[in-house]
Amino acid sequence: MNRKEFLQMLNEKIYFLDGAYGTEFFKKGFKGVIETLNITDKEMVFDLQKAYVDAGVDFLLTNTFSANRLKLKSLKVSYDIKDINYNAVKIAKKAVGQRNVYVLGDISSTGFLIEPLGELSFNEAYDVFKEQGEILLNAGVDGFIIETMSDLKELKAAILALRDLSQDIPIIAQMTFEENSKAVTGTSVEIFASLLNDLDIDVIGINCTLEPEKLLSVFRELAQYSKKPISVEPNAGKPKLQRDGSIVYKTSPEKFAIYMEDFVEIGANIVGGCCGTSPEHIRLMVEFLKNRKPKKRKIIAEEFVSSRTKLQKISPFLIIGEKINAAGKKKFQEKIKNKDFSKIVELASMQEQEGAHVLDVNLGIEKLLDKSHFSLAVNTLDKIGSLPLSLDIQEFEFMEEALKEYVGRPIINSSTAKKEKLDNAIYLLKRYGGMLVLLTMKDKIPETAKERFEIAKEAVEYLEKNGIKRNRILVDPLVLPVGAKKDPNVTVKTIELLSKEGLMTSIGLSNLSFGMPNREALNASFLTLCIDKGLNAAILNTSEKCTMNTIFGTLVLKGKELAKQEILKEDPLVEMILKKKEKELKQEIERLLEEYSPLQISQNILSKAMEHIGELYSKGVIYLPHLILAAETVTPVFEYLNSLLEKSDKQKIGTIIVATVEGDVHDIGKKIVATLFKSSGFNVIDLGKDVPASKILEEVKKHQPEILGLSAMMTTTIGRIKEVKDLLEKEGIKIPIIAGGASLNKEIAENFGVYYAKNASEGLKLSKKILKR
Amino acid sequence: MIYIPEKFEYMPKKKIVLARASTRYEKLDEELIKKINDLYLEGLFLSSPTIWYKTFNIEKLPKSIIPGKFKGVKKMTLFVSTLGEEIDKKIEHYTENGEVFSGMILDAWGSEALETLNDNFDKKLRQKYKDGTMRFSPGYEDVDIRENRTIINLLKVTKIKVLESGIMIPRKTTTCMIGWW
Repeated sequence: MNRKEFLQMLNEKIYFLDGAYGTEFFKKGFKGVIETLNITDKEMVFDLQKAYVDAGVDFLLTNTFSANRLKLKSLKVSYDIKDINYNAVKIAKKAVGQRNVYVLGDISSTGFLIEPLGELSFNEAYDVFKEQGEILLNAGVDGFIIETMSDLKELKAAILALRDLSQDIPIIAQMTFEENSKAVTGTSVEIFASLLNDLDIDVIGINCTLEPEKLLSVFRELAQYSKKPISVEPNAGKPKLQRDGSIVYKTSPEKFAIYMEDFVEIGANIVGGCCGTSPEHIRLMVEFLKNRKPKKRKIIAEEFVSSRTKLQKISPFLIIGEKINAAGKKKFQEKIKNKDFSKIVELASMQEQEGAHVLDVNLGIEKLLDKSHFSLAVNTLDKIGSLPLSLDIQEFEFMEEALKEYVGRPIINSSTAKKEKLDNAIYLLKRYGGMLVLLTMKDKIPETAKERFEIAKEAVEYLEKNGIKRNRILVDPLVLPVGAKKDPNVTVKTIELLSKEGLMTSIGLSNLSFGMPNREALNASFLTLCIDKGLNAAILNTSEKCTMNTIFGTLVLKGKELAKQEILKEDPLVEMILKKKEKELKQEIERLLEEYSPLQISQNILSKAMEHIGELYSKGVIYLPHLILAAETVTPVFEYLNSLLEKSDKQKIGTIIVATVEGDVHDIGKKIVATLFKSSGFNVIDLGKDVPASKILEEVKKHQPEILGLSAMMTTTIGRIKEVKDLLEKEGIKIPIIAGGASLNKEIAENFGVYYAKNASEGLKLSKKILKR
Repeated sequence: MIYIPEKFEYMPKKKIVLARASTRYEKLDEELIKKINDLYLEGLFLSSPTIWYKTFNIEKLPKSIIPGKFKGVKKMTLFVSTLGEEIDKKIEHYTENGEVFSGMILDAWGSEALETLNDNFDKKLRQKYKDGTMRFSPGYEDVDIRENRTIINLLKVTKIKVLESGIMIPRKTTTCMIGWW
């Protein structure tokens, strides 16, 4: 099956994926890393896969969800990665037998967050996925499915790695979302879809986290934004605790099948099941929905650019802030050269407040820089949850580096109409996604509008012939300084010609008034003329109030209106923490110290601000990157305040021990908890992951904390929470235990006799309530 | 003979259930989908579908139940299908308690579930007997609806009551016939 055949198949009918593996093996009493069964108990894997084949699936997944080098290492699996993956394909093929069922190599997260959220580099993640993909491919898979990804950047690394292995193998790429249609890293379904529409994959999908009922509205968004076929694999309900201590997912096969029809009605092309679904779920779904034809979807035709967490429509007008530009600014250039990006962060925040939709990033003289400057700049802006970027980079190698690190759908700024430049742009657009600013020139700038138009037209045709649709192109008709006796009407006329041709346009506005007095008046007036002729975007100085008002006014007169920007207005202290304004924060703390004691500031002011930030995170106003950034910003301040405390005051700060229970290696959630507690003034002792109950007991005895925080992500490990609780009780230690993790809920926690916290900020709030602070 | 179907054999397409209840799938929001799915699930669990069936040589059957368009058939399969009485009770319960929406959807679901069941059983019979007429039921064209009683008696079904009018209790019950050449 090649990609063309695969896509042709999807036009004809609805196809079926299999159901869960982990929960099925656990039902049979297996406790451990399920991928090791590919070596130790092939029959068990075969039996389950055979049951899925008998249930009528079209695509069978290999038992390799966690079989990448990093995950296997953290799970302490010593078997050879090659054997695990190779055997998985062989077992799946044997289960398929002579049936018309395709085997998909199953790939998921490394379990580590990629920079800037975590410490894993993009390249390392890429290599890990490539290694696993290569084994699966050589063993004979018919396609790949990447699933349960919560970080768009990690997904991108996996996609690039797999596509580099084969240009002609089908790839299904799925992410996992919460009920608010956002991944824990803050990426919305729209952002995910708008990037994956560009990337070289075949099907865009969503899986895990939610039961069908809750996933429906999330999937509806994907159906509206995805221009490619779509797939879905919901969980079979929420996990519930059984009397014997085991965990089951309660959605019956009947309920599952009934809801899966709704996904088909919304437009799903491929349906299957995730955690908790069994061959019986899949069989009933297949029998009920077989031979159905895929529905036609109403897809939103508009174009978007995005960062990791922010989505911006191009229409009716895109305001691109020009200020992050070190060209000709000696001090700024020096800072960038020294990898001091504080000015960039400051300008990003300022332009957002002023109403920019996108930030143009030009690091100045590129000869002074190397690749790392570009990756660091992109990652720094990603970390502060910046607006989408327009990457204004000249060197191809630097542009590629920036695009690789970028999370979202950027603007590639820019390419001339010369063939070799266009070929470079085609490569970048296809590989990394995004929109292109196309200059209406080859080697030199044509004098007349007609010439500029013809150059653009020819270049657009070339791009289209090479797979880049015209709606991904913003043509720059070139603005020249009036001061240099250049006629601005040539630009206006070019915009008019391009608009009539159905092409979108963007200009660099400020160039017009270079060297002239009263620049703002010139810029604003000129912009009115351009918008009137159909201009779609401009790189401009957002501090020019007159220019900004002109955009608003002209659009209103043309019957259009700019979407209102939701700008977060918060308490100044919260703002300083969220935007990493370290200098201002330090000054504020010094000012507060004149009025309050260090303990008061720590416990009443700073801690409250962090609690509020935690609430903003819980409500989905800010996302994981912001939370991590805030915690990083505030932690040194707490350390400073603590250093000023008297010994007696020091004892007043609560201590919490956190640990992921034995057998569980999930660390990210617990790390977030630790970070948030630390940034709220708690003394945090993090015991790490896979911690035995006896070790927890020992540490509790040693440090005598006020709270114990336990994390367990898997259905097979949540029982360990009770084990810890019982052991502590046996030893006569009474301590409030707060537990959390994906498979846990309030009901189960209460059953164990521990507190439950849905997320880090709820845990923090609960701790303060328990300690009455 | 008795046939007890599997669930998927009487699971109707939601779109058709909704059409029967005079609404369109595209008009539904998540809340309404949930309500309708809950009723679908309720119908599925309340139903205890059964099919009684027998194939007769045509000469053994009373003329009054043989449709004119079955001319020339050698054999005829008669079958009675029902969802049982629990679903009737629930529909009545809903309508009597002012939950008309639920009553209406469940009623539409029941009718479509039975139709789906008949379609699936029809397919099974055709796999066995191959060349046959279209499926037919009393109440259409030249076979009187009161012939339901004749069919119920021929199949010796005791669980279905036929009123004088020919209407059967439980309400979600049909009698069908297919002729084989």
